[in-house]
Amino acid sequence: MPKEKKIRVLIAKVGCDIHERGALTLLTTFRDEGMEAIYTGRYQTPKGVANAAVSEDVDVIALSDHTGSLPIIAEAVLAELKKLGVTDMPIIAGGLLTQEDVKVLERMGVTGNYGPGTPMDVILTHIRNVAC
Amino acid sequence: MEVFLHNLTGIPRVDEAISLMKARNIRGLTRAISIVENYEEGRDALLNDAFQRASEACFTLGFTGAPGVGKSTLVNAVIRHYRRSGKTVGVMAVDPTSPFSGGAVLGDRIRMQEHNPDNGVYIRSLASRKALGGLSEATKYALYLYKAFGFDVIIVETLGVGQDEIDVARYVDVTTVLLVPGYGDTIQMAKAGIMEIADLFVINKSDRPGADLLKKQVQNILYMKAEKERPPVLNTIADQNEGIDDVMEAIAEVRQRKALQGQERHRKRIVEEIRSSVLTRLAGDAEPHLDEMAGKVLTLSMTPIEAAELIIRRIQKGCLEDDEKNSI
Repeated sequence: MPKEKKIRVLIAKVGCDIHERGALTLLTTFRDEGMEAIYTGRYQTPKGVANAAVSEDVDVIALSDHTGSLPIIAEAVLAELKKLGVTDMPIIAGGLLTQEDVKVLERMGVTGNYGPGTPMDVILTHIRNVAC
Repeated sequence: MEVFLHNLTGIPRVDEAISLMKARNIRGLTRAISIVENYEEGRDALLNDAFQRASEACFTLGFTGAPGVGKSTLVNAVIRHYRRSGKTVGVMAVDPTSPFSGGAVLGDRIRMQEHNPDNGVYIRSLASRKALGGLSEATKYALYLYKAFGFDVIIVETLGVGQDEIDVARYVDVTTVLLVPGYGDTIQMAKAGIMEIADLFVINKSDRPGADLLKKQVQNILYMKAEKERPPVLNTIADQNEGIDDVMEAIAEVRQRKALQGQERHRKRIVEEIRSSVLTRLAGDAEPHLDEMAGKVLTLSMTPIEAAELIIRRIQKGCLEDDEKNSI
């Protein structure tokens, strides 16, 4: 029988952020790269994202945000995942970030942390690395 | 009844997935679906267990229709309806796999996001992964997993279908076909396929011009049926929650009506499931031979028909050898 393991990525946006272009670009790029990309839509709660990630059995959660709140969002999502007993799901982040934000995120175990202008190849390689 | 979430670290193995399922832990179900989708080790054991425990008490609903008619939005409203009466709901939402890259964008969740934080609702997005007929291979099997888990209501949302993707009707109790104004004239209605599988029709986006005309056109082709078998035709504006109560009422009526033919339908479904498993298995067995045979056809040493015949003979021979090995 065919082995059909595909990388499943949840692209998530938490809180009040309308800037969707990044998420939508990633969605189609992931599709073109043979991955299964699931999008939560905008204005999600951390609990909603954690539930969706567990329900969909994804390999990676990709947080997108352009309001400068990624550290707060990541911390809240991590806390909700922990409540569900999930402590080993890789989380990557991207959007508008300060250097300080990146440090804080990395301390939490959130990787990637890509700012505007990051080449797509860098993101894809990173996802393939963390997904397996 | 709530869907429980327990503490657990690491990826559950097959036997763990089975016992988690029995404990009604959602991580068991979620893992089980992945095992089935990815053809992982232990898949058959998992499905056999699920089949034996699958509860026929679960009410299964199918929603199908062309892309963009509002299937996910209607499903969202239907979930809301069942949640109000405290019923647990499991949803399978299928979106297309790219035939070019093998990837997929699974976007049905977006329309159902209000249920993300609700532990009584389980939504899983599935990519079609080469399936024909509007349901992925995994969807058909995942239905058993959902039944074994024991949701009160199970909803299957197909990918956006064209005229001939009618699988869903074989697997669920009540099939709803969605249309939108502008669907086509009476000739489109008379064609075979999707128009024949509906237990009820929903004309969504009924705030658009042409909704009444479409309703009449659909009703027109249904007048040939006996009154008792005529599928209801209903208007909705799903994103404004309009017409949903009528749809739910119609679904309940259809369910009662169809319960009478329950046994016969169940038998048909089993036949279909066996057929589908066999065909999938054969497609998998044929796959490794395809490249070689295509080469032979291209160099004109064989016709495609002969190539197919040869592959079938090879598969049969392989089976005989397996049997011999097993008998020793």
